[in-house]
Amino acid sequence: MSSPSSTAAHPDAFRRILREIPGYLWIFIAIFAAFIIIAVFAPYFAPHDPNAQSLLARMKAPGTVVRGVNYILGSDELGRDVLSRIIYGARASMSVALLAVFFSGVIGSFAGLLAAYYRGWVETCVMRLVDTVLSIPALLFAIIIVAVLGPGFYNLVLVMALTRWTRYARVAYGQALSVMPQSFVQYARFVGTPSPLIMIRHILPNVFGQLVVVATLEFGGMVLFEAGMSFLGLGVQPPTPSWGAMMNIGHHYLHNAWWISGFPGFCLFLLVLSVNLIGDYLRDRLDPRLR
Amino acid sequence: MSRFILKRCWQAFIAMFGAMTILFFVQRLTGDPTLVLAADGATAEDIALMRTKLGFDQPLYIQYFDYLKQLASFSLGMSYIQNVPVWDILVSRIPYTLKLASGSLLLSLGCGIPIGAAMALKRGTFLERMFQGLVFTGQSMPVFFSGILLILLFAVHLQWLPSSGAEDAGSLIMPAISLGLLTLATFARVTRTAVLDELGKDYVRTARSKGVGIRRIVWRHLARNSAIPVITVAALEITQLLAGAVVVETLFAWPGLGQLAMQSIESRDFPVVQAIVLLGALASVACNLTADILYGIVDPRIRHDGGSR
Repeated sequence: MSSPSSTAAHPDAFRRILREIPGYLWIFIAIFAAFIIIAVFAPYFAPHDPNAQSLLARMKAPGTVVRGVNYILGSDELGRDVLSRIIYGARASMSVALLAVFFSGVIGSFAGLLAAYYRGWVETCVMRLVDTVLSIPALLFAIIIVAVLGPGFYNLVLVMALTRWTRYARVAYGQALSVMPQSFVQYARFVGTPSPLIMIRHILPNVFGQLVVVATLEFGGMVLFEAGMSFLGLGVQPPTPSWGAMMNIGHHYLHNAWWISGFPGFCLFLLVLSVNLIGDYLRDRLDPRLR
Repeated sequence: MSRFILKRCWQAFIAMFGAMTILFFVQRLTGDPTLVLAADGATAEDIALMRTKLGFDQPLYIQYFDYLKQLASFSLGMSYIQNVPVWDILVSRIPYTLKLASGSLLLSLGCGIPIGAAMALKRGTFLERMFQGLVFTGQSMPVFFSGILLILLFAVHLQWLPSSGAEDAGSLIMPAISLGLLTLATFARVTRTAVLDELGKDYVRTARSKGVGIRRIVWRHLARNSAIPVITVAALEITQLLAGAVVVETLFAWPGLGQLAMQSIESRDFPVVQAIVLLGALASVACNLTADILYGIVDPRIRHDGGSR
């Protein structure tokens, strides 16, 4: 209330934005933040080594204590601690999804900008390529690429980026087309600014906001994509813990050990739900047209 | 109208051609596809023999030309492992995937559209909030997690339904539900937005002020006008269902194309995997084409302006 006027304008606006966030969303923001913290500081949170096996402690129910080790969320078919594996699995999920979002965003935005800037045959090629990639079901496309390149962390990121860049390309293309005829772009061209500079300095900043919204919405999809690929055995390879792979193994033991697949599945659901809700809110706030 | 359809067909053909080309180059991403195909213990001689036999020693453009020639004669080639035409292997699996996909589509259309319409018409009520929760859950639920929950409830605890296989009609229920949940949520969301958009328009207000009942407005006016976004999404969702089928079929041991794809990857039977992906692309292109033609029927304005999107 008593804060000085001119310098406090920004913090006040920021506080107002924070105050407008509905109460329920804070819960999901907190969940999302918790997953990030857990993923970054996994070694500090995990009670055990995620890959330590124990023949005595195979498929123990949640809360079982074997030789002084408490398996809070139970143990899997090799006697590994499910909680520790979930904590390390968050790392795999988040890092793959983040990298994939980043690379698909860069590829897609670049392609879209080029198409809108140069028009002509560049435009035809890029937009036809977008149509073609969209016509191949993403998961099937990813499966065949992994079948050739072989599974693994980096190949997974590459595959996800190659299959999911189209949405950014379309948004960047559409936005850039509407920016192109504006006077500041025309002027920059007139005075002889090099094309790459025009694209980066003048067009990109005007497209960036929408691309960020798309990236937020894509993140949840990427987390699901990674889990799906790992579930099929084509993602992050064992013994590195991954939620999708845990669920793949766990579904063979559903009759006597539901916790092996149940807990990672629930975490996946919670993470994707919070990301989707945050993304939807951002989209409604920043750009209702993307709906 | 016929010009519009012809143009769309040409675009579909280009997309399909592009998909074939991409698949051709994907298979050669590592430089030498023979090494990908060869079994782990293969000797250098075996590999060389295989390379000549499969034509991978030819220049790239000749390989590409042969590949197109083969596809143009509607042949998908021979399976490397079983030594029978790929088509013979696919034929036995296609009905299962069709059964699964249509079951899911029926469920998601049959429940998703009424739920979406109800959300729009009963705005601000408890019912809307309940459905909203359902939609968000469906959107964030990975198909394999909903599948696992269904197995736990209906197969392990209640023992009503089999957890895997495709023996009787009962075994279709769980795969169809877990595959259809995401699509259902999408349909509900899109229908809600479409109906809300239409509700705000002048003709609805005019109809109401004339004293037309809400039921009549919904069926006579809204249904047709809200159909376009729903048709677009339906075409995209069928593609999604085909991709999701890979995961669901693996989870429920459902003997469809998805399971076949995974088995063929394990046995490195590349022509089969490639044929399945091509089939998926074909289905998706065909669905989008049908949707485009349907627009023209639902909304005559679209066919007159040449169908520019």
